[in-house]
Amino acid sequence: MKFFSQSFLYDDPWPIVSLAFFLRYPNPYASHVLSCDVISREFTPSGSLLTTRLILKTATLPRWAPKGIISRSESLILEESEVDPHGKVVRCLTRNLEHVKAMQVHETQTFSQVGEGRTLQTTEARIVSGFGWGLTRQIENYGLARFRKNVQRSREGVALILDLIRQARMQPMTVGSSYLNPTSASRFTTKPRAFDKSASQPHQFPETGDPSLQT
Amino acid sequence: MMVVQSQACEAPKVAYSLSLALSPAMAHSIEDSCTPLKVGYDSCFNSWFENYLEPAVSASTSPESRAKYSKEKAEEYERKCGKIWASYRDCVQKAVKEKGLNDLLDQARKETLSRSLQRCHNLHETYVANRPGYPIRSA
Repeated sequence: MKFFSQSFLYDDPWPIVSLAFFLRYPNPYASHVLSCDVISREFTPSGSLLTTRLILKTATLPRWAPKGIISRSESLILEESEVDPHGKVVRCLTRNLEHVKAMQVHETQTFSQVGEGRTLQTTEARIVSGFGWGLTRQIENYGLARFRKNVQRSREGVALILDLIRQARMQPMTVGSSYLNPTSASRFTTKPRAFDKSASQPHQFPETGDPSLQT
Repeated sequence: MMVVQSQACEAPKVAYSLSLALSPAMAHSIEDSCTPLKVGYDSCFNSWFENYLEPAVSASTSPESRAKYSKEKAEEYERKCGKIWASYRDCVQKAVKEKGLNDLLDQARKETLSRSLQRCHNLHETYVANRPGYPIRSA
């Protein structure tokens, strides 16, 4: 099992970051997302919003993978989230539903308000392969490397949508709230600003065995 | 009043075809025939959600005011998006069934949402409690 953990601080208030996170598909950094559907949505007694989304992504395999390791080149993902607007927290769990013997990735994300006007994102993942044949470790290492790359891409996607929302709120007359429209063309014509690496360096914790998480 | 609201939730057709040209697949439903309903529903939900995320400070002060806020927001959601949600949900449920994915989903959801979220919550709390200097400093 491999364990990944990272946190990131946005210089934007929680409502706007959470909105961007929910609106993040489609964006040009997520071209591997083929479809995304809400399959259930309900309120808890305390007023939080629970959402389950079914997402279909392309599945790519490394060249060394044995033929037939997975039966098709797509993978279904289940994303379960809870939004608490009073506690100002989003919690989101994501896992693959298919090819789980080859590799299962459990991802946990939270977005919470930090002080005034900032948002802390934490991302954790457990990557487990039950494939065997001497390939378990190689598959898990591959999964970890891909996951790390995808975290970066995913953050760039959210940053792009964040920029759109920010621009729209500053110039409501010209841009309007088109960012709320999932088909808005501006999603594909806007470039995200480059991350200021010196200002908001991702804070990487050593990803090793937290013994409590070993299975 | 109802007419105005249902118009606001309809898919804007020009923007819709434009985006499909720019991005052949990304705004799609798992079932092509459900995509127009999905786009309409997403637009409606997103408008509602933007406000839901920002309760007035006074709405968060007591359990009573929170409950009142939640009830109002839930009713507003139902009023504005309930109808298109029902159509979209039925469309996707039918597609999921036809694709033979029901068993897969049922099995996955046996691990209940609340238990999973609790685990997620615990992880976050552990983080806050155990990591020195957490939350991280700004530069």
